[in-house]
Amino acid sequence: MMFKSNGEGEFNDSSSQDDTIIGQSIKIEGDLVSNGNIIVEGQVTGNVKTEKDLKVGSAAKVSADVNAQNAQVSGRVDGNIVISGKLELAESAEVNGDMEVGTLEIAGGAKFNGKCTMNGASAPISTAKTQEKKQDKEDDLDELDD
Amino acid sequence: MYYYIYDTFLSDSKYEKTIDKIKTRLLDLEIQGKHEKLTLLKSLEELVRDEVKRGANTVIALGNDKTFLKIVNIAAQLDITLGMIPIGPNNDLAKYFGIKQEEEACEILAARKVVKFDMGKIKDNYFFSNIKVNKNVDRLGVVKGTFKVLPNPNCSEVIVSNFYYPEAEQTFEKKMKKYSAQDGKLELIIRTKPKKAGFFKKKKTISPIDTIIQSTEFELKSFEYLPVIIDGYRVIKTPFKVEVASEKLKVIVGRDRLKSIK
Repeated sequence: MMFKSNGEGEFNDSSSQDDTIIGQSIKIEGDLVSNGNIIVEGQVTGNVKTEKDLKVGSAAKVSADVNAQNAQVSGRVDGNIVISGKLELAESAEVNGDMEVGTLEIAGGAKFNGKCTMNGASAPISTAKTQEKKQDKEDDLDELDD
Repeated sequence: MYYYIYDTFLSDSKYEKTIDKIKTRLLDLEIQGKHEKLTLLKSLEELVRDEVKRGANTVIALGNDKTFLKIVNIAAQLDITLGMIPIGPNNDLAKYFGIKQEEEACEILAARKVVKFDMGKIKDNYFFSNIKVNKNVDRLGVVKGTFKVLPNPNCSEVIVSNFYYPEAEQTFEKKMKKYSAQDGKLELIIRTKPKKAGFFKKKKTISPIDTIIQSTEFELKSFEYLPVIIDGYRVIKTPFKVEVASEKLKVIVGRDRLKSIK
């Protein structure tokens, strides 16, 4: 899970990287680049890029191209989204733009207008591999029992 | 050599006994030095500068938060160690530094545990706690590298903070827990106007934190000159650049200091 589900906007990762919280009462113009987590509750115009996770709150309006590791969107994004890991669109989300994601989760009611490319990021592949390995191990154990 | 500076409010006769006790305790602990009382006619910075020329390397502020904050600029410029003996009310900083009131503070000075803190820097001036804009906030723009932050009229304060210390421990905001004055960064904090309390609620509410952005430098810009309060007592006007000066201030702290202070 990227963010805590309590909705308070706290990060799970408490490392020393920059954590940026963009509140409802401000507007950002330009390229918002960070090496830490970003929470957007206000307006952003330009580009948003982070090496970590991004959360777009339900009241947020992002008119920008977005690039992040994982993202959780509950607000509006007008722009292209590139997510190497997992993208979650909540029911209040509205995305107008193309998406390139590793894994995608869309809640009922979410709006998405654009093209979606899924490149199968490392997370689901590794999960599948682990499941295969698990199955192999179980088979081995069964053989030993026989 | 130690140099003890007494704030002006300590001239009041009600503090005489306390000061005598402190002086006696300092004698017992053999950390003597020159004692000087501030008056309206004496410039604190000039006094410290002269005494450092004469060989003082540690300045002890006797008074409250304001006394300490007034001295940090010159202490950082001259690279001297700063200590404090808290006397009277408004001594929140001392609590966070783990320095107990009056005589007990003398023992902490004698133990001399020195910790280095970051400072905020504007041109050649330093500040320890924060700089604050609380009027016409929506006319201000804060630039951080590639982007610009524009507060709307709903904002009540724009603060660039180095050391966060609320007036009471009960009002310590969770969001600010992870930030310290030893992380080599400053925090841009934007507060919104508090919601109006109900008719029967007389409790004073603090403005909620809306935005937090960390950086090593920010630029404060505006079309007109806006007053900015530094450390709660000095005023400068926009535009200017504020940056962090890492490990610039040496302070004597106690054992019961904030856990986040290394």
